Amino acid sequence: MGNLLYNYEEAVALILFSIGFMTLLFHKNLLRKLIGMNIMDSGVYLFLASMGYIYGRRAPIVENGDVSAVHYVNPVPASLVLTGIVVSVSVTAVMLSLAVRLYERYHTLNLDEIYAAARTRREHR
Amino acid sequence: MAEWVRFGISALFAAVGIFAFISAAVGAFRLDYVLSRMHATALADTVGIGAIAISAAIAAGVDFVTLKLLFSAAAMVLTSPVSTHMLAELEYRTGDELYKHVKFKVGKKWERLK
Amino acid sequence: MKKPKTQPETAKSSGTAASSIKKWLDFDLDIDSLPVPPPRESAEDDGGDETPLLSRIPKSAPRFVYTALAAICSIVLTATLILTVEGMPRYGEDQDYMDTVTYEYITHGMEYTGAVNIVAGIILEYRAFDTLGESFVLFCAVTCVLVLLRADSADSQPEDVVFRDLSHDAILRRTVRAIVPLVFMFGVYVLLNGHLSPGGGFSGGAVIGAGLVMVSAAYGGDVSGRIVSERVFKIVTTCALSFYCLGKSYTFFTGANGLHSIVGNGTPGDILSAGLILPLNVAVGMVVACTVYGIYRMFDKRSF
Repeated sequence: MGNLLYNYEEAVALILFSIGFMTLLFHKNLLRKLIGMNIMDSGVYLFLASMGYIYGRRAPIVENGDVSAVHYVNPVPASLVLTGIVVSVSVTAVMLSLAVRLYERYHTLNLDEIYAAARTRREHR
Repeated sequence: MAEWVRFGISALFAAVGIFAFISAAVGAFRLDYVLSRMHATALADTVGIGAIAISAAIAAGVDFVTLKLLFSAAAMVLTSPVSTHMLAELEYRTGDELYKHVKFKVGKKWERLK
Repeated sequence: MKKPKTQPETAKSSGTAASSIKKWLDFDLDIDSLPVPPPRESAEDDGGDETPLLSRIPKSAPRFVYTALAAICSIVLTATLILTVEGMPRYGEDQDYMDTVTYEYITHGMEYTGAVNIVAGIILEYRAFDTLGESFVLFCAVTCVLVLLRADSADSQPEDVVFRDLSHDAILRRTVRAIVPLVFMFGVYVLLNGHLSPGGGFSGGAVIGAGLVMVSAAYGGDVSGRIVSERVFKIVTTCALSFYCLGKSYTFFTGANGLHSIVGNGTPGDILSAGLILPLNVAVGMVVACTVYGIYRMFDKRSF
């Protein structure tokens, strides 16, 4: 099994990513797809943040002027996660507003019906 | 011996909290009507977070961390039912399917209106 | 509404700089020769087609093909990811190959940036350009939401807008009156302490934005419009992003050329230390608060 049993946190994060991906693919409702996207984002943050952890070390805030690198956790993945969270919030906001406009035009949130109505409306022109 | 008792109580509260979260997640995806889904997810914020905060407070002992934890959990338990209440109010005022799922009192009997 | 055809000739004949710039911008564009778009039909115009929607999807594979392909894709992705985890080094192990960048950040971070919080020093001093891009992403998001969701005053509001106005609810008002001062105080504390403890611009700005959302939800748009109106929103975001650009350009310039900059590092641990990290945190926090509040107002009232 290799390192799979020891890397349980990263494995759970990637399983969360796959669950979000499957939610994105299999549901036809627009809002369910958006929930799937958010689940994928949560999985990515957990994976990134758990990459930086080292046993027995503290959080990267300097205490008592001690700047030796063997006392602190890796701080670089934490700064990457900050960027990711902001991007996730922005994407969710734009996706939700697009869903509101789609609902106002087609009066349904089912992606198949929206696609059918858009296709036929284009052909009838 | 006292350490094991503390660990057991903390684990019990954590199990209650985890069960609340799992049932809320299952309910949010599988229930039909929006008020039922709200009933499920409101459980997660209050019971779930409260139970896990109490379990963490018991495990940490008497420390400054415990005070901060209980304060943040109290703020969560205070404000989450208000948000659920506002969503339910909105659904009550503007919902179309309310009459199919809710029973009203006609005279002395509770019955579902058509 | 045809413009006179002599307009391009008059632009070419006068040789001033303004007319040449105008000609360059127009790309020899003749407005009248563009094709006229067809008249816009109503949203419900189906051409009189009575067939149900789902049977109208033309010329595509049966439904189960898509489901099978999606299942295969998901299984392949999950298997690949789990195999990757199996090949990775152990979780929590001290890697000998921790790269020199991290070593440099931790050992020289505090003396170079003056910030006790190493992560704040990374995102606002070593990698400040990425944080500027993030603020731009937030600004773009709120602009997109504004473009998509703003309803003109000429559009008719739906009939149930009176019932949807829930701002006079007693439970909400009592709770908000009790909670909002604590929320703003906590938000300002998190915002100002970005270089000393976990926090900073993004989390502090989100908390302040949440406080504004609470005020708008409980007391209506008039009260919160006195704090953040559309004019205030535009001024605050523009000024915050401009300050970030100019201030950080100044420290980039002085740092790259070895000059002495007026923004010193101070003693680590003070509130007024770490160079430009505190003002940049405030700028980023303002952008985030306005973004969170603006997105809420767009979804709730369709206007600021």
